[in-house]
Amino acid sequence: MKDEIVSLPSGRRWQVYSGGAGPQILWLHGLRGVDPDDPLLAALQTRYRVTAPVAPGFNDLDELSQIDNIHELALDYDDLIGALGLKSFSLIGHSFGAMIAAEIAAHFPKAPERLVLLAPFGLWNDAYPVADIFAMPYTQSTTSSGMIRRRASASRGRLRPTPMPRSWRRRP
Amino acid sequence: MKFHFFHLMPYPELPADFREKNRSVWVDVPSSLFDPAVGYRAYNEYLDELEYAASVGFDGICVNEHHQNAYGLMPSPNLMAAALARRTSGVKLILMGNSVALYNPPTRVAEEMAMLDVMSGGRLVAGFPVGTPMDTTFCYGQSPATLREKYREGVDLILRAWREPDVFSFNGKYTQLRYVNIWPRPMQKPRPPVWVPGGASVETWDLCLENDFLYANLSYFGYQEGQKIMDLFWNAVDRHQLPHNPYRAGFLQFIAVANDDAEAERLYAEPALYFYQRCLHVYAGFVNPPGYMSMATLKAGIEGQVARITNRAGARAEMATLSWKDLIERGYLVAGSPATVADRINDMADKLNVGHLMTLLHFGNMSKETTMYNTRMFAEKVIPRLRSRFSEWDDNWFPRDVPLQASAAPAISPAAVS
Repeated sequence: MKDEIVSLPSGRRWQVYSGGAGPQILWLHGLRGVDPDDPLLAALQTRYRVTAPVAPGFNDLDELSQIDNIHELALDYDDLIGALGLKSFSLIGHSFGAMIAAEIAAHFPKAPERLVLLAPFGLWNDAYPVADIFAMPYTQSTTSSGMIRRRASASRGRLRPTPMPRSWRRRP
Repeated sequence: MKFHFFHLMPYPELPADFREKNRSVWVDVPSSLFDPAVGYRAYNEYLDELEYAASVGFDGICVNEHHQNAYGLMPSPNLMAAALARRTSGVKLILMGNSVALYNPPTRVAEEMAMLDVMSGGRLVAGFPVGTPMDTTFCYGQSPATLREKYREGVDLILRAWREPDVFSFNGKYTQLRYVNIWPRPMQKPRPPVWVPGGASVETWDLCLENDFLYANLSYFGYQEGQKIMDLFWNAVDRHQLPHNPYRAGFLQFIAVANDDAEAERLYAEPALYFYQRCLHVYAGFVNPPGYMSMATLKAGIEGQVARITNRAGARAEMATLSWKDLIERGYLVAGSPATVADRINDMADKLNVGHLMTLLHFGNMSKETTMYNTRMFAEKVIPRLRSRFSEWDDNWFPRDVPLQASAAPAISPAAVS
């Protein structure tokens, strides 16, 4: 997949992967970020144009300084959709990305033509409470605080946008 | 130097196999372990112990806030402070304190603290902790990413509510109020002293130093472990170009006084191990949710004290096999004869430069009799040896003694009423 930086009018910069040709898909990744070699993304690209932005905070924690809640995140994605010039597209989210996709669809119901939620995170059902991933000890977790802590210590606190290490892209 | 008696109010009857059978003492601790009859006895004995400490000469008595926590039975320390306000006089009430971001609107905190200050005749120390991740994120559902900002806004609102003579409007990000005009107003002017109990965070130190609040490090691991944090605090004091007045800092220390080392072990080993092994058994997933620690604190390489014992490889297993000897050697506890304890606290005063010592003389499942013995030994045989420390400095972070006409004691005896 091709990887480019898209600048928003607000000054925010997004890393966006894209590839394939055909009807447009906007792919929102799960907790492990975008894996450009993901076989699912490869299969989709045989029939669709796939655009896969890297969620705020996955490259640089400072990207989150203006985003305090899910509504601001949805607005941020709306800015990105505008900057990418996407008019008609299917919105597919996986895990954490499916939570964002559902919020985008709720905030901007006319934006996506179709909505696909794969193993969506964040949709509450009393009978089937979702795992509390934010309460997973970082020594046992490869995501969230553990990832942030390891990145902070690896770079001695100098956090800046960097490509995601390969080890995070694939399940061990 | 000033000496305060701090009570955590732990539930005293957690079973011996608590660690093996449960994942956490905090947040999701099973309610089946709570017996209200035990709670009734504990609350009343613990209040007795705080009142006793006041009667033997401690400068302050401290209560604090925890939620869904079997080692801290005070979701509302304000209730305890209210009970103590009526039963004590002279001693200062150190409310350590209210986690401001949990109260909506935060003027509730300004109101209750003003009530306590007036009821007690100007004896209140107002504590504003950010609150632990367990209390704030997991028990009270606050987003760790916005907690600190919400906390700071709440503290601003409370200070204005105490300070501004006229009705004002507050248009914050988290709280909007058209009419702020709390009744009553605090007795202490311009305001009660503010203490900020915290583990360690860069923002907390800046907040304290910018606003002339006291910083209190509530460490469970003794002053040797606490030195790194207090050094960082005094570095922050230097950055703000302020004098190293020891009274702008407080430190919590477990203390066990006896006639000799052997008696100390006999009396205090069981309650100490009860605390370290059962009360500090916190599920690792609760101690550091993403976003709770600020970037500045993360970059400074500071780790929370509960995170330290739950997250490091092998740390949990190590806690399970801890012995009395380990507790003493590592300096978690200062224990022994009055002379030994006084020497160690002198050493702490030298190294940490703290003017306010918060003593934990009750810990774990210590009996009332043992607690009173420990408290009396400390008050009678240790405090006199240390009282003159730091007397060359002014303490601007503590309530002044105010002579009052009204007595804090009940004006009408219960017998007269019935």
